[in-house]
Amino acid sequence: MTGAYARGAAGLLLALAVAGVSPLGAASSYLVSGVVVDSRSHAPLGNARVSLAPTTARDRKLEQVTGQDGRFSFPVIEPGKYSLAMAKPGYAPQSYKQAGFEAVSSAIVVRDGQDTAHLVFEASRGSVISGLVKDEDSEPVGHALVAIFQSAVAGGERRIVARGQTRANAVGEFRFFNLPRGNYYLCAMGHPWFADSLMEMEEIPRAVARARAAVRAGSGGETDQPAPKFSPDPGFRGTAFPTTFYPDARSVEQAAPIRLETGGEAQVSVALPLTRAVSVRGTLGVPGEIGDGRATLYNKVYEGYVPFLTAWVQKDRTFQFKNVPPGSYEIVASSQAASGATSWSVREEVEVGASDLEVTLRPQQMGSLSGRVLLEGEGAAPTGSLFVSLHDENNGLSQAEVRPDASFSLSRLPAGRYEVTAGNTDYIAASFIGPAGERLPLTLTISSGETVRRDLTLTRAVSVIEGTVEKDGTPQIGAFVLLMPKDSSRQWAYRVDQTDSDGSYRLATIPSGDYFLIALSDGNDVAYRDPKVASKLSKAAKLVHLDPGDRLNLPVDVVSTADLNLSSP
Amino acid sequence: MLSGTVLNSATNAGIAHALVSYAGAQTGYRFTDLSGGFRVEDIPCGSYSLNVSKPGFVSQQDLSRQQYSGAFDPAGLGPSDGEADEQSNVRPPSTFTVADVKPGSLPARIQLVPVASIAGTVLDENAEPLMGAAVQGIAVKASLDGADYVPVRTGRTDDRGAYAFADLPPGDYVVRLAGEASSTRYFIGSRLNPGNDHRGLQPVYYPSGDSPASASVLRLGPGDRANADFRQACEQAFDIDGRLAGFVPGAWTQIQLYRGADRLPVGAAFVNVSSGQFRVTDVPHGSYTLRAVQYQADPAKWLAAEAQMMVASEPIRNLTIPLSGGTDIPVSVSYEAGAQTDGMLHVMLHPQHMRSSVRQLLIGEAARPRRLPEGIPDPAPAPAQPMTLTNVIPDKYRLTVQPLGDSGDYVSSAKLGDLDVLRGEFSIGGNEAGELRVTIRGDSASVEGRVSFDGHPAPGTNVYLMPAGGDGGGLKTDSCDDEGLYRISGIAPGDYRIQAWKGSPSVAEMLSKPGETLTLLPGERRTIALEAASASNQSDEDEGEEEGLLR
Repeated sequence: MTGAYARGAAGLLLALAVAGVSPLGAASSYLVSGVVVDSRSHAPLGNARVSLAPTTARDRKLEQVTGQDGRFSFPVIEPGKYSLAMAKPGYAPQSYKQAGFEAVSSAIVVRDGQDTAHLVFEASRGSVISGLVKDEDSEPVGHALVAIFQSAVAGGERRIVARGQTRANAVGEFRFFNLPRGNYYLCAMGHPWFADSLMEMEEIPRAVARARAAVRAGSGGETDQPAPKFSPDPGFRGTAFPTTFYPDARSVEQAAPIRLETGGEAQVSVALPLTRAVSVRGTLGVPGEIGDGRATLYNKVYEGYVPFLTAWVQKDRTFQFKNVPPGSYEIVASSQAASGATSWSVREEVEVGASDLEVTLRPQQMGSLSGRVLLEGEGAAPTGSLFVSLHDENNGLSQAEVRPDASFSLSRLPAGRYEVTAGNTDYIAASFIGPAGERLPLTLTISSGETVRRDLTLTRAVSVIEGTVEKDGTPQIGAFVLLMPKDSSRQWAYRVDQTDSDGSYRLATIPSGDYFLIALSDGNDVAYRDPKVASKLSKAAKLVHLDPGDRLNLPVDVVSTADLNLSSP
Repeated sequence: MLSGTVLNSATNAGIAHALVSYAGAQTGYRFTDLSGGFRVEDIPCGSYSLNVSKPGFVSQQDLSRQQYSGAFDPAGLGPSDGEADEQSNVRPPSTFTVADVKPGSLPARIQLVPVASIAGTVLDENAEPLMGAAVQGIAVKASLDGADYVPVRTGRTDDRGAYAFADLPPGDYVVRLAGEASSTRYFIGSRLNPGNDHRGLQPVYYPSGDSPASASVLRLGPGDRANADFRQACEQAFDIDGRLAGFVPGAWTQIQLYRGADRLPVGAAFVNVSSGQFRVTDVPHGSYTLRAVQYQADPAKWLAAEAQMMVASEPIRNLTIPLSGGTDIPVSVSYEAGAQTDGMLHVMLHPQHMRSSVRQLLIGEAARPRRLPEGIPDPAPAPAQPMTLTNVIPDKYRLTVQPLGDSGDYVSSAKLGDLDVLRGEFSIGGNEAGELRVTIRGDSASVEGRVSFDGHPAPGTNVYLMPAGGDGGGLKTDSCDDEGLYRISGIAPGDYRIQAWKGSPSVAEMLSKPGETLTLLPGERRTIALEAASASNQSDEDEGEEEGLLR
């Protein structure tokens, strides 16, 4: 069934129509309705919370709870694009045709002649990884930190992506839930419950010897008693657990993937071996009086960092991690919160081996960036908020909203190199403006404590490609549309979309140039920035040339992803 | 040779991989073998103190203390802000005992008490699991005024609606389903789409009570596993939004909404770190206190605000809540009646809500380093600290003042301005709070005597001295020695009740037995003979164990 009623003068009747009342026989309402089913069993899902909101105003959200038949039905007044989402215990909150972790989904297009009343919302049940962290004696390691990673394609690149961390309970049990299907890796780290006690005991003979020395010095030579003997357990194995990957691997390379199907549960256990640990002492070279600060030792796992130990920075500018197993770490020490002149932050990569380590961390004042945003091109004022974002080399993000007077500022920036992006749906950052008005690339190197002032040009000189993805003349819902620049070094020029419920797609804010355009049946796992994959894709793609401000309408036939044989490592 | 066995008090089985540390003429440690045994060869004769610990076990001594509401326990603050708690849980409690090593001495037998657990699931009115709901394990402790309820664990339900408290010391508990509770999340921009479900819960005590007193008490013996499932209907919930005035952009911010005097926040809070706009979602009807706290590092400064509000049947919009700075409270101490003026004093303000706003002072010389053998002099004293509690932010507080060491001194009064703050909770607002004046006196009283059971001296029984009135602060305990003698000293003069128990009594048993009441005068040394009562959960084998224990 289509939106069957003629559209009337909307304003006055809006409230009534939303409430589902047909006033005076001149109802102006469309119906978005259908059924929520489990993606595997196709059984209807009752007690699912279904919401519908215009994609441009998510807070104007309509909500319903499905009955046992899984059905939902929303009368809506305004044509447009709507986001349809569901949530139910056991199912991660998800949008219609949402693939994996990425928030890409298909909007429901409401307009005359479009059937929105027979939607089938296939909801994917969340997958679970649960298990136990234990030690070499098969005793549980309470409060162990467990992190999971997924091998996934993000932004066209296959990567190992951090997907969460949790602390095991007092008896070593952990549970990750609401995960999408995929290949996961898991690592566990922890502290032996007896580590602190053993290290304190190791201190006693030394403390006694020091105290005795003080007595001798004070009294001019007492009889010299021997310090009490210290006798550790002859079977002593160590005071720390090195980070361990499932199944019982010491390194990333030896880790085995955990394969999760939709709705599946993997039960795994990890055994942490005992190892001897060393101490890592750090000294800050920060000038002036230092306020409260904290140092964190991050365990470097894959491309991510997992906080492992924390220590307070003492007034004498030192801190110490007493019980560190061998491994790769990064130390980050920073002042607590807030802005201000004496904020500081230091980071240092350290490789910890078999002996104690002393590290001096060079001072690094926080930098800042401020400036104004200049709009060029078509000159219209932006409709929504504009943001300026700095991306550091570890995928860290600092973001600030552009103020009404077009100024922006970002503070507390650690020294480093940043990529700059800005804009909203209509604008993208084009260039920085140099002192002589010249255009500078959108990268920025901020040195320690540097205050950078630089204006940023945003451009609306952007092109748009719209169209419908079809297969044998039928619109394809949820197809993956990819626009690749012919020159792959133009990394900022890639654009992707997923087709909406009418098979339509829209690629916007595109710089001019030559592109490949392709629609794939399933884009979830396509590493399109991989040169081999890109080469296969380009052969099946349509070549498109865009001049500034072009608005093209291009129908595209869908290509079966499986047929392209894109398997990437 | 020093040797022995570490045993599970409930099953009498040996406990493997327990840590036994010893100190005396020699110090060291051993891990027990698979049957719970340990031995140290070639050790000089003499007396050794032993500490035994193992995750999943607590000591009998701790247990006796824990069943009563003792000095105010900051762990009872409730809202678990995460890490800090969990880190501190890593080290298991240890059992302390003394062993004499001499020719022919018997192996030591050391009993540890296995922890208990409570687990359950939380389902809504449709029998669907409720995910992310906060569940509290609340210990029921005896005080002279009746039962005290002390939150000891907070858990969250998972995707199955399941929660578990895996490591509870045996004792009496009630379980409370508190609804959604979360930390403060930050957002940027003007729009926030929290994806909330507009459903909330009124708190409920297992199985369906509205107060701890109407809850079922779960009596957990050593090693017990109890189940507490909830089936609870959700109700419509609303949002509260507004703006913090005087907001420091970028500073650490926490916004929490508390129901009445509750210590667990309700709903999910969001704050825009550049503008101070905030929103709290999923708030069911009720009356609430909204608290906002900011911390600015340079210069270090705390800001806080508190506002009362009532949620009925619609959202609350566009509140403006002004933040104000903390206040400084100077502290002075007077010493009377022979109190040691050079003793150490620990002064601490415990806030009702936020761990991070605990304020404390250590007055006097540095404490002795732990475990230094006798005869070893103290290191140089630490420089004197300024006697001011700084940046005290508005909240309700409770004061603890504790003389350290064994001087026997006691705190006879504590006044903040004209307000008596020695016991109970008091408010500190945004304005001048005045000076905190603490009086320490040296004329404490003591109680000693012999405990008998069935007409015979009763070694190993536990003696509890509870102050009459008040909140359980100042409870003192002692264990009888081999002759059945006890001694409790350093007691503030006043009215008390004293009881002796064989084994560890339940709260109900404690409350049902009047014990002896006594009034202690300044400097008094009272001798009182006590008859021990037998606790119902005392193991039949206790008698035998005592005989073999560490001779």
